Amino acid sequence: MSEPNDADLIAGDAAESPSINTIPFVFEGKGGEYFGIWITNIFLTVLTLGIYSAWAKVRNLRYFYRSTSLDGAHFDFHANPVAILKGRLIAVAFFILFAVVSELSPIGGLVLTVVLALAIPWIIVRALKFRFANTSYRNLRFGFDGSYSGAMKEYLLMPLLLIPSLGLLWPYIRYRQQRYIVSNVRYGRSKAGFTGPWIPWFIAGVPLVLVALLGFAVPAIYVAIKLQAALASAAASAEEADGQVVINTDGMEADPFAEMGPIFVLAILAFYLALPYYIVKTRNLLFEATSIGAHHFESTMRTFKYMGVVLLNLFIVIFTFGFGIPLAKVIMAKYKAETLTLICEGDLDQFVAQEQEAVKALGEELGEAFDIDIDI
Amino acid sequence: MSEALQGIWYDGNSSRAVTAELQVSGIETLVLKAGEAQYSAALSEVTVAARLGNSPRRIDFPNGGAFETSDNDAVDRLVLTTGNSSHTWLRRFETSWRLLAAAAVILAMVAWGVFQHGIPAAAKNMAAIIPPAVLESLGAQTLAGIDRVGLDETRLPAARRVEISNQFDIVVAAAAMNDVDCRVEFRSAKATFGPNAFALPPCVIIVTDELVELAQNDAELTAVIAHEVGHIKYRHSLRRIIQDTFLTFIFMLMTGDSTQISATLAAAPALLLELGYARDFEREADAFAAAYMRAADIPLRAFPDILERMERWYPKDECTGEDCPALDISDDGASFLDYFSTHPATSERASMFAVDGGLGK
Repeated sequence: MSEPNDADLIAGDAAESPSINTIPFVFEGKGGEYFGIWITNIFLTVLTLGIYSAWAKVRNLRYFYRSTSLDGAHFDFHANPVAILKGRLIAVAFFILFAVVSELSPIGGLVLTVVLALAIPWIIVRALKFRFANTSYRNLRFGFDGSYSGAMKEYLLMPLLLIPSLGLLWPYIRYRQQRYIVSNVRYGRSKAGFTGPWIPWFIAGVPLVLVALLGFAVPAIYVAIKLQAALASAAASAEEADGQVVINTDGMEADPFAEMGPIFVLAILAFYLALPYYIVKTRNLLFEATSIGAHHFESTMRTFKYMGVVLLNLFIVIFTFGFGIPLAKVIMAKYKAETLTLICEGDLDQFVAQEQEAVKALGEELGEAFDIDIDI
Repeated sequence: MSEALQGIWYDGNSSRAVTAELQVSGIETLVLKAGEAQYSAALSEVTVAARLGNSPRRIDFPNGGAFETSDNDAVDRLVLTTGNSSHTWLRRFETSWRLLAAAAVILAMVAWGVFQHGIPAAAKNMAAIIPPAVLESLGAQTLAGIDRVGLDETRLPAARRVEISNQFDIVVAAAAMNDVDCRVEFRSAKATFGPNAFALPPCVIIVTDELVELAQNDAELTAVIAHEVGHIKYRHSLRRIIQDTFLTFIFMLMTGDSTQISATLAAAPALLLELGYARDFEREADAFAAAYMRAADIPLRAFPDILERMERWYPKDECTGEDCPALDISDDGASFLDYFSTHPATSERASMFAVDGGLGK
């Protein structure tokens, strides 16, 4: 297939079958440029004792959105920093209350935990509404129409299945949550679609679940049982020794920590393989499953390439004592953009705006304060 | 007519992109040509987005349309000629390397000051106004917990326990803490902690049988007890809770928008800071013990003496992580590894007592 040129496009528009184009996402941000924005954000946040953080958040996101282009047009972010500030103040108040109460009274902490758990679906819906309603592309806003009951089901009820399934259903629950989000997103008046079986998502999560179970949970239980037994026998032998100070603790060769040590080390290594694998696979699956109008996405991230980017960023951040964080974020954004393409049927001119309802419902900014990360 | 800005027009009703041109015409009027269409608006009616690096920005028209352009310098000139210059000082800050370098240096200094002095001082002041009794249940739970895991009933003769309790009462009286009830508890910890002592809030000190057996005289025992009373007097457990809360909160703010993997790695510097705070507490407790011993005419050498013996009780290679005794440190000299330990190096601790000891005796 040859590169589509303008003549093809016009012909495609006029003719019976629209042409298919692959349009890459491009990230145009620069590390040096973002460094200035980033350090100014932190500096003013410290200077204003945190008040500026809301403006900083908007400037941050706005820089990344505006630097991301698709088909020559750029995304934009429109949130009102005052709304975010309000949400953050409420969140800080709750955090302090939670910290104080749970330190002083375990029961009070438990009550607050339950309250927070019940509020989680509500917070998630609010955060998604806030984020999408304030995101635009080609001067059309996105939106999120998910219901509280839907979020309740996916974020509160489904996770209960983790207990009888010993965590094995976790990848499936994540799949359902992503499906809930995507299928409730709209761009202008067009609702996004989510089509994709859950099995590949499940397979992507299997290594992570296995590492968690076999690498951490089972050895931890083993150590606990062994320790219990060792204490019992130590108590028994102490009776025999009768008060004499025993310098050498016997049974060191059976020290369960030492025994399980290599397994824990291996588990940590395996974890840092399984986690990037899961992140990369599910990101690819998420975009593959997503459609909007007749358009589809393709994400071609690779696990080892992604790990390379993470490691590179880690070195940058460590050897610059943190001052390389903006460069690291730009490198990651570039990699995410360059592995993402839109498979476009016809052109992108056909979306229509939805009448903007005044989205001012209480608590949208509160959701934003909890910083639920949403990738575009 | 002034220079023309090149960009793209989005009408706001659809996603249609139209190549467009924007010009200032006459006094304070913008004229936009998008294909066949032409719009004009007064400069006061449009919203020019603030500049962010060189990312493209929009000029929003009152009819809901937006003109998107990457020609930031031209937009800046347009804004300047009209006096609509909000946000330019921010832009100047963000692009001046001299100001950014100054901000970076100031931030590094502020961070050092906050972590080194600010958080400990704030925790100290907050702990001072919280009555010790609020930690009653926490202390009771901790004692019940370690009783279950690692402590057994004491096998010390009752007479010996009374002797030590009396010593303890004298130290507590000297510490001048008027709002707490203090007591000492004895436990056997042969298979677990060995010779050791713990301080639990609000004011319970646990002395293990092994410590009593290891001490060659009462001066050594009193030294360790005085160290633990120092922890109580300066409310270290409450201050630790407050400091950890501050740290958690600050690191949550700092890593709030980071990726999942980097969030797990951000725990490392927080842990190092917590360990640093723990060592400061040990130094403070040591200082109390030294002051008490000097006042009570107890030879100062007693403290480093028993510290060293306790250290020898734990073979070095078997003392790792949480198995380590509360008073032990398995490294003799000051070294890089000190940053990873809960207690200052024994040599450093001994020097405080050795120098004073020479004068005091």
